Amino acid sequence: MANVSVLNLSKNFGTTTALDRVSFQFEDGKFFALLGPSGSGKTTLLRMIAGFESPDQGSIHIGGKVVDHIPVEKRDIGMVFQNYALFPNMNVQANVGFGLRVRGISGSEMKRLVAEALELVRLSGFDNRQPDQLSGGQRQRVALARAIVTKPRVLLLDEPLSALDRTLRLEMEIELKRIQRDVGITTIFVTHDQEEALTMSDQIGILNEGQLVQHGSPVDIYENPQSVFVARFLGEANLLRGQADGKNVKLEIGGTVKTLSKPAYPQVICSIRPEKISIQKEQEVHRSNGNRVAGRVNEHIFNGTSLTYLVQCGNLVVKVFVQNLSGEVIPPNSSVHLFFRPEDTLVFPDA
Amino acid sequence: MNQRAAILSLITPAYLWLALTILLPLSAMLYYSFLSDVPIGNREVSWTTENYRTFFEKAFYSELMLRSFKLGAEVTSICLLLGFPCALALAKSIRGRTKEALFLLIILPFWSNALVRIFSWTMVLRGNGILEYSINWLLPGTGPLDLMFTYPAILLGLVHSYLPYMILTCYISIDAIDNQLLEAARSLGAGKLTILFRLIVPLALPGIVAGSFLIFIPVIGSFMEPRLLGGRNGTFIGTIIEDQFTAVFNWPLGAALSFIMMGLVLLILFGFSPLVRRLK
Ligand SMILES: Nc1ncnc2c1ncn2[C@@H]1O[C@H](COP(=O)(O)OP(=O)(O)O)[C@@H](O)[C@H]1O
Ligand SMILES: [Mg+2]
Repeated sequence: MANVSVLNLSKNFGTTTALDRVSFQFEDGKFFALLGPSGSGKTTLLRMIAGFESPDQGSIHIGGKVVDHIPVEKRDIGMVFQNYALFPNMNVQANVGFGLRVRGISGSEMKRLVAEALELVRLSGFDNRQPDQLSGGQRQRVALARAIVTKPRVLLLDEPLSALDRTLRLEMEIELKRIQRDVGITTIFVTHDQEEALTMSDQIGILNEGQLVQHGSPVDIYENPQSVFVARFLGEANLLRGQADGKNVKLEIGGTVKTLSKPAYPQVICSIRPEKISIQKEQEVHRSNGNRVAGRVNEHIFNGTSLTYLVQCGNLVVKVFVQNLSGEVIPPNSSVHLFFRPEDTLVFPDA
Repeated sequence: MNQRAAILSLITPAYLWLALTILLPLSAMLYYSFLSDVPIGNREVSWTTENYRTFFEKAFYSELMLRSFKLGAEVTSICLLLGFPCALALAKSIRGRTKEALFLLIILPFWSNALVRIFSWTMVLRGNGILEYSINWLLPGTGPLDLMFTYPAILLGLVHSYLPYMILTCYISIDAIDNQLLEAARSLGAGKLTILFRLIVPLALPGIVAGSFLIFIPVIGSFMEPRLLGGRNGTFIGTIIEDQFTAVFNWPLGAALSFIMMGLVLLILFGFSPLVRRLK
């Protein structure tokens, strides 16, 4: 187990820039998610840490030592591939034992370690199955067992859950997190699914067009996005254009809102998360502090525990999440007021 | 039900064709192999098993059969040793234009007539031929090579003819191996040799087996290469069978020898079938 750091990594494929000066510290024993849209360079970064790609620039350290010239097979990593990549000519035991055999561990010692790993992924007794006799979730577990049985210094996973259906995926998220905690291995998990990243990781790094645009704990990134891109990519955000004047922003859709910090630029975009907004019917308004925007309900989506309102404010549709506290639904076409706090009104420059 | 009819209508022409072109001549030959003489004109012809008995009574034939099987095994092994690495490189390392060009070169032997190909070898191999001349020009004083009409000359000609089969069948099965498997093996610490022998070879086994049979079967029955390149050293069961049909005019014996050879090949095939079945 070890911490991993990447320094100033860049990689071009022909004219495509896959990675652009990425630096990051993956601390020992933590669970990291690399999150970003498709094509943002997540896989490239992961494969570079594994050693399958070599950077054009920059360097990679594992356990404090430079590994730039160490080939994959000597890096002592564990990797789980999107399509599991189980060896079809070997049964479960041989698959999981492969890395041990390569390291000269065989016989009863190998069997013991394999059994331990299979128990960890809750697949005891599956030793003699062939990969094609397993379900998707089971293959995933075998792939995981195979990757961790050698006690690698770092575990790398490239969208390992994306081939599973939703129920199985949620189950595997919990399992994976439990296993990671049990083993205490530094884990780097690549995903384009923000929910996966938020629920599983200790730290998230967000990639966009080859650049690491922000990193931090899930709560930190969610509450304090540094750019419109991050605000929209992680969670949902209502974006309202406006003109800044001191700590006030005059919105294009009408009305003025306050922000906590004073924007340094005149043209701004305010970002407000749907769940930070409360909604009240116009005739029942009993609150006046904080920011307020008027609108009209277009429609609502009821899903039991919560309600989503789509509210027309000027030429913009604002999304509002409300907990289903009262069991009461505001009907379409009602005039409403939306309230949100200045500290939840984040401002970004309008590019 | 409809689907079954569709399938049937699709495969029936092919099976009819196969039945006509393979089974009919084969049954004619089976018939001949039990005759005492070729039934032409008004010769006396009777039923007999003598042709088959001849094979078991005269050591000459079984020795030749063994010699042919040995030739088949050697040619197949050489093709495997040369063809497999070539297929591996083609499938996993070489890309684009180079790959296309190499493929063309590999199937080049298929384009030329077998007889022309073999005669070209005689020009290369014969005393004072192209090979001897070039080597003596490069290394003066090497002297005659005496390759023509030797066993190695036969091997050379046969390997040249059949190597493409091995390369192509191996290429297909190696190409089908997912690169992620090889990467997974590397991530687990496996070096090149481990990956080759624990993953690539086992996963390419269907191609290796197919290529081996595609080569082994025609080689044990081959007669052109042994005759033209082997001269007096070129007597094999294939040349003997050919003699029975073209020179000695003893079709029944030729047919019987062919069927014995076929039976032995089938035995070997059955020996391998559990292996092949395991591979699916
Ligand atoms: N082997 C390659 N050859 C050419 N372009 C590549 C290669 N690998 C990745 N790319 C390009 O690099 C960019 C980043 O790719 P990737 O790291 O796979 O993104 P992600 O995993 O985030 O979807 C993409 O534009 C992709 O097309
Ligand atoms: Mg990817």
